[in-house]
Amino acid sequence: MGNQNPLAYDYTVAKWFLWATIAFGIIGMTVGVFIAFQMAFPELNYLFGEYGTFSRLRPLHTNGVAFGFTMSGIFATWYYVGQRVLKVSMAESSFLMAVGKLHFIVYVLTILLAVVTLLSGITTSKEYAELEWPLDLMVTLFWVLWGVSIFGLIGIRRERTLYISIWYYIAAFLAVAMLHVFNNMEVPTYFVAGVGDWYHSVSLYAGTNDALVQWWYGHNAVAFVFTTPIVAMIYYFLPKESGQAVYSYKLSLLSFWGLMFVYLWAGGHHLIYSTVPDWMQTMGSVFSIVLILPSWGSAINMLLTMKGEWEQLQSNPLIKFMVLGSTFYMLSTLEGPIQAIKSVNALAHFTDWIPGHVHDGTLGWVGFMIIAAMYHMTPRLFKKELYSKKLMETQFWLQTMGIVLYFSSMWIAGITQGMMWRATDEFGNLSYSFIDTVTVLHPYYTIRAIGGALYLIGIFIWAYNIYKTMKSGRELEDAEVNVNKSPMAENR
Amino acid sequence: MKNIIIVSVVVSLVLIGIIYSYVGNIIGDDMVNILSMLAAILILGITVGVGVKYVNQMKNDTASGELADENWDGIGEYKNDLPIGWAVVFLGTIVWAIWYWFAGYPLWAYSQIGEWNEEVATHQEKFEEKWSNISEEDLSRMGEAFFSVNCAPCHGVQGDGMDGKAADLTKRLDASAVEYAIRNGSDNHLVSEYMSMPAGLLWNAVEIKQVSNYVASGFTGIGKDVYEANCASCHGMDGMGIPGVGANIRTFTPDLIKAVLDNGKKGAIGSMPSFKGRFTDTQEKAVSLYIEKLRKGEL
Ligand code: HEC
Ligand code: HEC
Ligand code: HEM
Repeated sequence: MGNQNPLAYDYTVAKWFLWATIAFGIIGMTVGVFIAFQMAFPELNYLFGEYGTFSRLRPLHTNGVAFGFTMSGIFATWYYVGQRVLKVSMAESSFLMAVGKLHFIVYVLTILLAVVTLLSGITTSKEYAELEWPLDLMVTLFWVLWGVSIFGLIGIRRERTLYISIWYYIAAFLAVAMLHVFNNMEVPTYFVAGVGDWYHSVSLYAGTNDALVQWWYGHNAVAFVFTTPIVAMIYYFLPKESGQAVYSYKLSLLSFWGLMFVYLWAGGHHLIYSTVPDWMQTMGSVFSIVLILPSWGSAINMLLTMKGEWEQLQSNPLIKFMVLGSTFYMLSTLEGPIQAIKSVNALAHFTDWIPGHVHDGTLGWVGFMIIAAMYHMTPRLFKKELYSKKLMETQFWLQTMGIVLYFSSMWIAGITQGMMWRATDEFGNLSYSFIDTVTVLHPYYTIRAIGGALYLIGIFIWAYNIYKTMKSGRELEDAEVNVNKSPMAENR
Repeated sequence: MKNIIIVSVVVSLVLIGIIYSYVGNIIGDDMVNILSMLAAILILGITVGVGVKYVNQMKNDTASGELADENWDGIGEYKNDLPIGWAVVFLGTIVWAIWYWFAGYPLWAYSQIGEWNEEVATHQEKFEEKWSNISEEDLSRMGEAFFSVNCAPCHGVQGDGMDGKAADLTKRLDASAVEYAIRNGSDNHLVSEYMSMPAGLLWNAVEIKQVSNYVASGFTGIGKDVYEANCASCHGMDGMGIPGVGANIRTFTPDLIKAVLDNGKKGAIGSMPSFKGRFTDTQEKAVSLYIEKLRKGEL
């Protein structure tokens, strides 16, 4: 398929977000590797006083990778994909251009403040919603700006119908807006009751209700930050890079609405065997199972798009990232629902199997897709040939190994730990104390940290490769840019 | 890429193998363990299996179908039908969900607390049956295991109370506990719900010291007179207690331990929570035996 590209797209904002993606990726994952080593070697907690403890750094890691790395990646691709599939240039509207730039500025400021506050221990202590109310307001602001950008661009589009990726970006926008607002309903204690610091707040909900809202949010943050926008990416970048048409429009449609309808009800699976009403736990569990198929639908659609394209898979590292990415997406969207079955959850909950599951998805799917997307965009943004194909290959294999080490060690650790916790002697007394499990788990914590370190090295290779592309990649003619396969230096 | 398939199969098998090597002997007949192991195998098996199917299609199949009229930035879409396997399984899960909600575990009838209560009751019943004629030796082993799970977190693995975190069970009472009881009285339902010891039976600090040491050192030493004059009427000359009147303050008895487990205990150190209804009679008997052995230094 040829590329009709009559427009001069303006990628200023996309470039800014690309840099943010790389920067936050490095920060977030360096912290991730560090806390992974802390779990194996607790002495590492005492290197930087209070600022270096696991409890401070863990939220820094999760927020850094989710709201720094992933979200920057989402925005970078939006400002790239949005223009191209709607066939309008940002340059056509100085208003949307200004909105885009402001979006970036408010966003980066928010994330930097998030780093500072989390390091100082300022937190609401709700997982993934740790930011205090002033920052929540800033999040709201940049989210609204993103919305203006999405609907603004759609408003002035030249394509009659919206491409699949656009549906997914819209879904991400709407859902996160709703989740963010409802889970962050909080009371600033100083202004309401004259108690505590001015930035301090408490949740508007109490007890079980708070937990319910929190995990409705927490689960759907996974859905609408780690899933839908990433699906948006793969629906654009895989067909584009490979030059193949999407396998089935019907499958994309059904998977999309399936996902939308089912995801929002599944959050209860985080609260199985808790004080939450039984029917809600059951609902969370049952909807999780139904969720397998809409999730797999997108992945299958992408894998079938590659039918007969074995050769590309072997020769193009970007395709490798994306195909393996959808496979890891399948792995984690089967794993999650199965862990949501009550009898399995009875074992899996609170064990390391859960971080194992999280990272199947985040490292294998989210990370790989963002890496591939940025690689695909770079030659188009800078009109330079990607600096080195060999480095991409190396990165791919290092990171794949990293993921395998990560998830296999966490599976072993988690399942072993779960069964040890349950084990009883002939008299029905628990056989092991907590420290017994820690002793068994120690080697696997070490392996996880090593796996993470491999992945992190890959991230540095990625950053270096893109940096070198910008600095010293071969300049490309327009005709060389407007092709499907990303131009890359084949022999370096 | 064929290698990838082989590698993923090998990795999956090794993974399951390693897990099994750890847990093989503790899986037992616990349904949760069995289902979880099965879950792990299914997750890997299905993903790898389905992955292999699509890899084969990438190798041997070709893209085909009717293209939609539109394309976006050069990306086209086929109007292909849903993959039949996918559609069937999707429908299957929906049917299963409806069954689960309305028939399997009806939303309006299922209760996890109910299930838990039933499971515990069945377990306790079986437990009592299994150990109804428990041998002295089993009782002793049960007591030790029971203590290390339920009591050691506060009382210490040695039962010594870990430097005053909880009562030191290697002796019946230490002097500070006795002194505390004399000064503050004691109302822990040790002998009965209605009987307590009033505060202030003695005021003289010297006498209090003497009698406390006398009790704490196993009824030896100089406080004997004070004890016999002020305490023996309720606790007995030998300190072994008088049913319904005064607690045994010399040895641990099953009744005393049961009273502590049922009502918890407040005293010189702080408080111990009540464990009422949590243990079976056999378990309480076993731990009493164990604690009395601790006190006698027989372990
Ligand atoms: C009026 C009867 C009475 C007299 C006299 C009496 N006690 Fe008691 N004592 C009790 C009763 C009843 C208990 C159990 C209280 C409870 O349930 O907590 C008790 C409990 C105790 C306890 C606490 C045991 C434990 O395990 O914590 C100590 C120590 C004690 N008595 C020591 C003494 C000493 C020493 C004297 C003499 C100065 C004394 N008692 C006089 C009735 C008496
Ligand atoms: C949560 C901590 C905790 C646990 C668990 C605990 N205890 Fe205690 N226990 C205490 C404390 C604290 C005391 C002392 C209270 C006081 O008198 O100040 C105590 C006191 C006792 C006493 C009374 C000792 C005396 O001399 O009067 C007995 C008997 C006892 N515990 C038995 C047990 C047994 C048996 C278990 C296991 C089923 C157990 N405890 C579990 C904290 C605990
Ligand atoms: C460089 C590789 C990475 C390493 C070594 C790593 C390590 C860790 C560690 C040690 C934890 C804490 C687990 C626990 O508390 O038991 C964690 C949690 C988490 N990480 Fe990562 N991480 C990495 C990359 C990522 C990426 C790329 C993402 C998302 C895009 C991510 C998302 C998360 C999330 C959401 C959690 C919370 C999981 C939970 O609550 O169970 N991580 N990570």
